[in-house]
Parts: sequence; C-alpha cells; structure tokens
Amino acid sequence: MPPAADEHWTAPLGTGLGLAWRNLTADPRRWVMSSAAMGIASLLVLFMQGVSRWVDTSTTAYLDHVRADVVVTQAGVDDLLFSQAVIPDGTLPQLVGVPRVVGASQILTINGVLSRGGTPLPVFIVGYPPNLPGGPWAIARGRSPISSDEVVLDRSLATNNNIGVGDGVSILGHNLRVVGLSSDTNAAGIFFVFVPLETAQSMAGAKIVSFSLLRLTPGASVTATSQEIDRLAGVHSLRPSKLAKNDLKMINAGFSQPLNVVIAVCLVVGVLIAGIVLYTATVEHARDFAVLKAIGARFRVLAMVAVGQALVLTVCGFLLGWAMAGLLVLAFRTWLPVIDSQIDPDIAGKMFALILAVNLLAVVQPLRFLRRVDPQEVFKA
Amino acid sequence: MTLRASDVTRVFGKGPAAVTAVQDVSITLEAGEVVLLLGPSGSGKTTLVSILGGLLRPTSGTVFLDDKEIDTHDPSMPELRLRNIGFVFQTFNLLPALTVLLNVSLPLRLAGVRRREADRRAASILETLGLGNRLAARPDVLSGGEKQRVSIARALVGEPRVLLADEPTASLDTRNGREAITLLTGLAREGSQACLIVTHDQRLAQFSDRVLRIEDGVLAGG
Repeated sequence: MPPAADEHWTAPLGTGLGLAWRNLTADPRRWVMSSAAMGIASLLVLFMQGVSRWVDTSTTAYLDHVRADVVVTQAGVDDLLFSQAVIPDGTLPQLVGVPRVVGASQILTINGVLSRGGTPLPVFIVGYPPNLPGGPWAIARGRSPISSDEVVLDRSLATNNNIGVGDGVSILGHNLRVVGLSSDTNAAGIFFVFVPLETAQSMAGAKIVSFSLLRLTPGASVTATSQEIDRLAGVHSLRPSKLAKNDLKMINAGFSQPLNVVIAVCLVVGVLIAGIVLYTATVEHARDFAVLKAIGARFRVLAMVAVGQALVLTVCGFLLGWAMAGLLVLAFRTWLPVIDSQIDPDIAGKMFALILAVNLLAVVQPLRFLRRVDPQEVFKA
Repeated sequence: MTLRASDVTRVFGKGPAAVTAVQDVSITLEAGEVVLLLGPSGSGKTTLVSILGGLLRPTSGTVFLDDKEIDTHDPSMPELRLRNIGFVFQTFNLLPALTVLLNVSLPLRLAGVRRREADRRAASILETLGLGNRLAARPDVLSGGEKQRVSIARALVGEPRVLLADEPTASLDTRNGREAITLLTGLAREGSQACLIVTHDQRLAQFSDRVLRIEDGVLAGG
C-alpha cells in the first residue's frame, strides 16, 4: 500500500478512539454497570465538593450581603457567628460622629433556641432596626418583621420543621409570629432568624448591641476611618470581608477535613473502578490487540485505544454522575433542606479534570499489558 | 523478486531444552506467484510465516522485502508490514466489535487513509468477494466461509506486495475452503502479489504455482 495523497495522521488515532468505544460498549449490560459505577463515584465527588462550596458561600452570605463598609464590634472580637460581642454603651453615639460615616445600623446577635411543639432548634438570632441594613436580604415568602412580636425564619429551617408564614414560634421565652421566610440564610447549618432590634434586646435582657454596621461617604478611605474608630474605647473595626474570612476559617476547621477525606475516598474508589474496568476491557480484547499489532498498528494506536477507553469511561461516567448529583441536590432541597450542595460549573470542570487525571493513571496497567501482547497470538487456533 | 528469506533459523529456548523450529530455510517469493508450503503439524510452518511476516526475529539468517532487510526491532516495522504484507489466518481473527466494513477498512485507516476513502475501497473489495450485502453485519453473525472472505478482503484491501495465509481453509468445510482458496489465489495473481499459503492440506496444491514441503523445520524442494 503506497502512501496516498488523502492520508492523514489523525486517521489511526481516530480509529483507536473508535475501537475504545466499541471495546467498552461491546457488552451493553457490563457497560451500563461500569458507567453507573463511575457515575456514582463522580456523583459523590461532585456532591461533596458542592457541599464544601455551599459551606463556604453560605457561611459568609450574611456579611456578603450586608450593606456596610465597616463593621464595628467589641475589641477582641473578630467574628460574627461564634463570639458574643457587646459594644460599650457610651461608644455608640461617638460612632456616628466619626468623619465620613453617613449611616449606622446597630445589630444584636444571640445564639438562641427556637421551639415549636416542644422541639428545640438552635438558631442564630439577628436583631436589627427594621428598614436599616442588617436584616434578611432575600425574602422567599412573606415580608420582613416590623413589630416586636414578628420574626423571619430561614426558609430551610422552616421547611424542615413544617413551619409556615403565620405560624407561632417561641424563641428564648418570647412568643413570635412568623411573617416571612428568608433565603440563603442557612450558614452551614447555623440558621438565621431575624427579629426587630428591640425584641432581640428584650431576649438578651439588656439594651445592648453587638455590631454596628457603618456606611461611609462614597470614596471615603476605609483604612483612615477604621484608624479613627479603633481609637475609641472598647471597640475595633473590621471590613465585612475580614469578618467573613474569620468565620469561614472557624467553620472550615470543623467541616473541611472530613469533607476532604470523603472526597479522597471517593476518588480512590473511582480509580479502582476505572482500573478494573479498563484493565478488564483490555485483557479481554488481547487477541484483538494482537491482530492490530500483526497487521501493522503502531503502539501509539494501541495506546490510543487504552487512553480512549479511559476518556470514554470518564466522560460518560462523569456526565451520568453530574446528572445524578443534580437530582440528589434537588432531592435535598426538597426534602432535607438543612444541607445543600452548590455544584457550580467551575467545580464540575475541576472535578472532571481531576477524575480524568486519576482515570488516566488507571491506564498505566493496560498500557503495560499492551506492550507485552505478542502478535504471534494470531496464529493460535 | 519480492520476498526472500536467506538461511533462516529459529531456535526457541536455550541449552539442552532448546528447540529448533526452523533450520537454514531459504525461500523466495516472486510477484504474482502462489506458493504452497506443505507440512504436518509442528513442522515449523507457522514459525516460518511469522518470520517472513516480520512478527518474529530469526535466531540467524535474514529476510528481505525487495532489497530492504526486515528487522523486527526496526521502529518502522509495523508501517512496513501495514503497507506491504497482508495476513490471512486460520481462525479469521476479525475484530468482533467491528462491522464487516470496519474490519476490512481497518488496515487503510491505520495507514492514515481518510474514513470515506477507506470505506469506499473496503466496500468495493467486499462487493468483489460477494459480501456487498453484509457490510453492516458483525462477524458473529457470519458463516465460516463469509468470515474467511472478510479476512481475505482485509488482507487485500491495502494492495500489499505479499500475502501470507496460514491454514486458510482449516476452519472451513470443503466447499467453503475451495471457494476461499480460489478467491485468494485469483485475486493475488490479479494483483501481482506474492502469495504464500501454509497448509497441511495437499489438495490445495492444484491452486499453486509451486509447492514446498517442510518437515522438522527443514525445507525440501525450495
């Protein structure tokens, strides 16, 4: 066969890919099981990564949405979610007098317990002045609280406990009526509830404030303003992003390690599945590879079959896993909204690359096997 | 002259356990010539075909394709085999996952021929071999005779210089065996290809231009 004008170097590689697909799908039942197994491994990796992303975004959601340039709190307090802060009484009037400050919203946060029908539920109470920053930023149903006996609950907390708008709940001995449900206020399992500031102060038993959310004149220097605030007695100031970062650090100290272990286990399971499927598919077609070698296929074509098998398995398994993960997320949001998974496209892209890399590692053994395939096998009856 | 083996010997194993499968064999295959290599089981026929096809390195001796020495360790050996040597096997060795058309177009695709052209040429030779209506079939639904015709088509589709057939009729009944050997030798002569048929079936002698006999690795009548 003399070289022809219409020959192209991609043709052998394309043939290798085609053979890969046909080798893997030759037995439809086994193919379905193999891709389902790879799909489940992908599903777990994607779902857990999505949980990790949700933990990150939900933990900082309040501070990400609060309309403040600077947050002032008790000296020594650097987080929103865990420390109980109290701003000294006399300092509050001084804050609004700081140059460049054009607005201040005082909030009180308390770790409390909500009860309904005898079931105690830990909640994070945010008392804020209605119509000022510090309250819920996305109301899914109902409205924000106005009077002292009204409360807005995190939607997932309410859904999971069959609480609806109009229902009565008790928080720290105060009977309140649910007037709204807020979205995006489940901070990695810390459920926000919003009440008017005076109600929160009544729950605390004192007219105290934990944080002051300051707005500055447009273009004003946050650093210069912070320096002036830090000179006041008993307080210090932080940017909301810094406060959020500190919260996240503490949340991740509890969540990250177990999540990463689960993800690593899923990846190991994935590589084992890929290894078994790819090695079996190669060994079972040993004679076919011997034929290919005998008729003159270069090793790179055989390698392309092995690599192609990994590609096919990864793509099909991953797409299946992604679809299943989407359904799982939907199921959680519908029936168990206390935990969420945020599988953003960038996570899907990174996990696909990771799973592909891991599956390509699983090609090493098949490649070694292909090296050893003896083309003389073709003569055996 | 197309294919020439000169004083080829192949020994398997070492020391007292060493077995000489082929000893000092010299053979020449000319273009358009059909040569029958007759020998009983274990006589070294398949070892000789492996050496001639560049699949097995001889312990000593050399094989030339025209004036180029065949060296199994040469990285370009697969390419040389792909473009110059066609194999027909006793057990057909069709790839079960591929259709008849894809099995036959495979050598062309491996040589880099684009799909449309490869399919066209494969379909054409399958038509010639009476398999024009079986292009989309998988090997497992074909009869033995059909499988061997597909195998012949695969060996011939790239228009190789040399055809090596190892017991091409052994898995077929008499009628299909005659049909296969008739097609194989006819097309080889038509294409001026050097054709070596290795068999233990003496009845195939009538299809050849020359008959060689091998016994215990030693060639007689070369």
